[in-house]
Amino acid sequence: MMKNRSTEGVKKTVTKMAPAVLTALLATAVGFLSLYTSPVPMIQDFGKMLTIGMLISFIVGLFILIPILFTRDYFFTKSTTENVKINTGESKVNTGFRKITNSIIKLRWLILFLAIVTAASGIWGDMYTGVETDVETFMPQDTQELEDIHKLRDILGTTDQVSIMYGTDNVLDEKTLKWSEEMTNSLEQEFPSVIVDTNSLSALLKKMNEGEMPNQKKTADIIEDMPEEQLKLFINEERNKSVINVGIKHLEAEQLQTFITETKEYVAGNKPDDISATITGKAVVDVEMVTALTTGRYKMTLLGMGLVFLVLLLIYRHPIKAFIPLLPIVFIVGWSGGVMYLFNIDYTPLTATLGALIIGIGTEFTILIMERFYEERKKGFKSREAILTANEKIGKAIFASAFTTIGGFSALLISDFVILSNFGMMILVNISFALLSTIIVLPTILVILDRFVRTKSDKGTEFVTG
Amino acid sequence: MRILKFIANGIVKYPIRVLTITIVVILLFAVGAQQVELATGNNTLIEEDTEVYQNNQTLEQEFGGESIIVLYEADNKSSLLTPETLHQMENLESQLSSQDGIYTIVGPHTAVENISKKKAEKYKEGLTEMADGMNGMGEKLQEISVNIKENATGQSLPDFESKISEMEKLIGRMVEGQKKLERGSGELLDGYSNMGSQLKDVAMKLQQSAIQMENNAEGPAGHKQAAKFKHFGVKLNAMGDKMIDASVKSAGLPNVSGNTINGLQGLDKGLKNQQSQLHEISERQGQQQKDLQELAGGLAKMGENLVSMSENLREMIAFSDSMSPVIPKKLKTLEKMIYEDDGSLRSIFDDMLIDGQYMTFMVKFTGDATDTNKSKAVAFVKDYMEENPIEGIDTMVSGKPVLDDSIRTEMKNSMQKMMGLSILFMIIVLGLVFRVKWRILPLVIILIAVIGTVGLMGWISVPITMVSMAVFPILIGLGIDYAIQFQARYTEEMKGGKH
Repeated sequence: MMKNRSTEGVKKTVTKMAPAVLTALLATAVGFLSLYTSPVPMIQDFGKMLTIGMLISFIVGLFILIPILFTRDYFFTKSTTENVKINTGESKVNTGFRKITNSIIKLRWLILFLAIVTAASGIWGDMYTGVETDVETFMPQDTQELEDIHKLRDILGTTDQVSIMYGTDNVLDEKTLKWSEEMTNSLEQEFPSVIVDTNSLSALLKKMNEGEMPNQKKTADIIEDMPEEQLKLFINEERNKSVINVGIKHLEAEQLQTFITETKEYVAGNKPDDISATITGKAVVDVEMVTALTTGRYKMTLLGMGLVFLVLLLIYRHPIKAFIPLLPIVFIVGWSGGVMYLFNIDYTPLTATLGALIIGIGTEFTILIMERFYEERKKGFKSREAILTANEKIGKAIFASAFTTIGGFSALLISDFVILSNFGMMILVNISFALLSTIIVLPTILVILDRFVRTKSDKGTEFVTG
Repeated sequence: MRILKFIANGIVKYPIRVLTITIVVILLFAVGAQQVELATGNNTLIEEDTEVYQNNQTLEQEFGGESIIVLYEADNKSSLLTPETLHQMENLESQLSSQDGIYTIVGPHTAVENISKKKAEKYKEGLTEMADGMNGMGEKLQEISVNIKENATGQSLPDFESKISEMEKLIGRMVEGQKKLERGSGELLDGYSNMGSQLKDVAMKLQQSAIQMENNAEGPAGHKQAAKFKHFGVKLNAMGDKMIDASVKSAGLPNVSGNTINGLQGLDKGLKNQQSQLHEISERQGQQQKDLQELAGGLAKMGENLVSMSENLREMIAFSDSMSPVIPKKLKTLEKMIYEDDGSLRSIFDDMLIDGQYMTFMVKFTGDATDTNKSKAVAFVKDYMEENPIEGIDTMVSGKPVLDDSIRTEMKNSMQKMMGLSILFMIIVLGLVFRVKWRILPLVIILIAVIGTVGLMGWISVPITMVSMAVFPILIGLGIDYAIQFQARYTEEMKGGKH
């Protein structure tokens, strides 16, 4: 009996469950595709890692987990007494599930209404959520190195710097030096609230020449006399590039971005044509990255949802069925935004990827429930009965996996990295929302939209799960 | 779906085989884990083909990348710019130069070394001029002595006006040379002091000779020549004083090899020998010999002495080649280098001294320095500063690479802790929530999947970045779902399959 049952069990699991999991996998994978559109390579690599990870998890689940379970039962399990024992414990849970699902179906319009209203206001609130981009706020605040750099900043006035790199045939000719000197001086007057100090070749030359700009001969002498170690900070070997270093206050990405843009304009508007100048430096790279990360999040989420919809449409060939899993995701995105707004949590580069992750976690849950729902409907059960079974069977598994995931992520909460604990908390919140959305809101959607799907699914029963 | 039925049949018929093959494949993947790289460079932040990236790349290529700042802190600037601190910087620099990825190292010591180098050049120039002057003087004196001897038949002095004017020029040159020496590094060789006293001796003799000359002189021209000689004597005497003075002020020889010291000692002996010879002459002359022959002899001897002194001096210059310009050992010498004559600090040190109580030392990395390079250098500088403390001075190693390094290490530590905790929490939760047989199995499965994933990333060269490392638990969290779903469904079917 055990042998037959385990053989049947494997066959059922593979043919019934694998398609649902595979669909969820595909949807999740395309959801992560939106991460590839990020202009930030490390987010793209993160997306790739997740996609690979999902694929391998599926393969390992299918080809390692199932054979192990099968081997265990087929060859080693003699009786099912243990299972019976567990059954009694579980029936209470099952009744609980059924009760809850029943009341959900009763209150479906109210639940859906509340979900829509809260999600909408969440999305509205999300637009006012701030963005935190200062790396120094992400790390453990009592780190000695952090205190040191704050002290250094107090003493030097600046530890951040942008560089105006300029090039021409010979940066030591009179005209270029004069321009460099004017630029060095005028920048400070132009941006007094940001610039702390400036340093350049011309400033160095002046310093070596009692505060006066030296003439060409003197310049050559000074350059000759200057130690190589110091000279190479300001002029390259070919003598055709030089740099004006601008020490700036410690700024948030947005302010820094504004400053860089304004400086770019100022420099471009105040230079001769034969001098090329660019504003650059690590700060510029950082700010570019941070801005790209935080401003692209709507685009990323919307694109992810669009892709999920397309893939589901391709699999189900039914717009409503393809659309249903997206609704809970819209809710989660909205609620998550609302929480960030309510609790005044700023977006960080990590939480900016939440949208894509919500799609990953959310679609999987919704697709699994939905697939089971239609599987039950196909067997001829009414929609109420189908949702009860789906919620009871899949819901339990979803609870298990959601709680496991929550357990895993709660480790992030106690990280002394603010950015990680912050992210961990938002992930927890989002998984809870995903659970809420799947167990409570999705059944109402499924029941309400059932009339649109039923006609189609009744006719083509073979295709629905196949 | 036919393929799924095929898979299901395969699993049922050959469970062990399917299991083995999959595990072998995962193991093959896992081999790639060695090739997984941890990427943290700028190219993980923005695309390499963007203008922003390219510009920064050019900047870092031409002018270096980030810098470590070592901050020296003391109550006042006089205890900051000391030979001790500067030597510490110099040592640190020379030890760091063997490390990879360092673009340049700049601190107050760079400027001091540069000044010291320039002074050494001046010093050598000065010594050369002194040597030339002495040599010339010596030759002229010898020539005059020959002249006197040739004219010895007459009782009066010959006319050597032209030679005197040449000697005057030579003395002028020696004065110049001596001035350069004083502006020079200030660390003069020991022998130089002896040289000074010898020159004083010569000067004294010259003055005596002048008296002799005066006695023998006929007519105003002769007297004038004698007066000039006297004048030279006075000048040389003064120069001798200065030479002694300069040597006394100067410090001992820094970093001189044993050979050089031996050489210098030999030189010193030679000089002492000459000194005693001079002494003899002076005794003989002490007898107030009025003979012109004697005068000529005396002058010739003086000439010889000057020429040999000049030779000694040249030898000293040759020796001074073996001394590279270094940071002075004595505070006084150093102070001469870093302060202007009016006592204010030279402007070149302005950038490095802040508020009169801080001083900075900068290690700038090349643009392509790796994180490993940076971490190594940061650790090295930190260790060095800790192992070589200077009394009265607090030091601090900071800067962006130091902060980043600390973020990286803290992040790694925190990740390891969190991964462990994650797994622990999941075991607890699975135990409580997932009510099936072998409930921990999904966790084992997902750990196998994680190994496979990291391995595959290595094969297809997807790097691990700060983001993926930070949120690695996500992979586990998302991946475990599939295993749980499969196991749940299978268990459900096993329980009797109500449907």
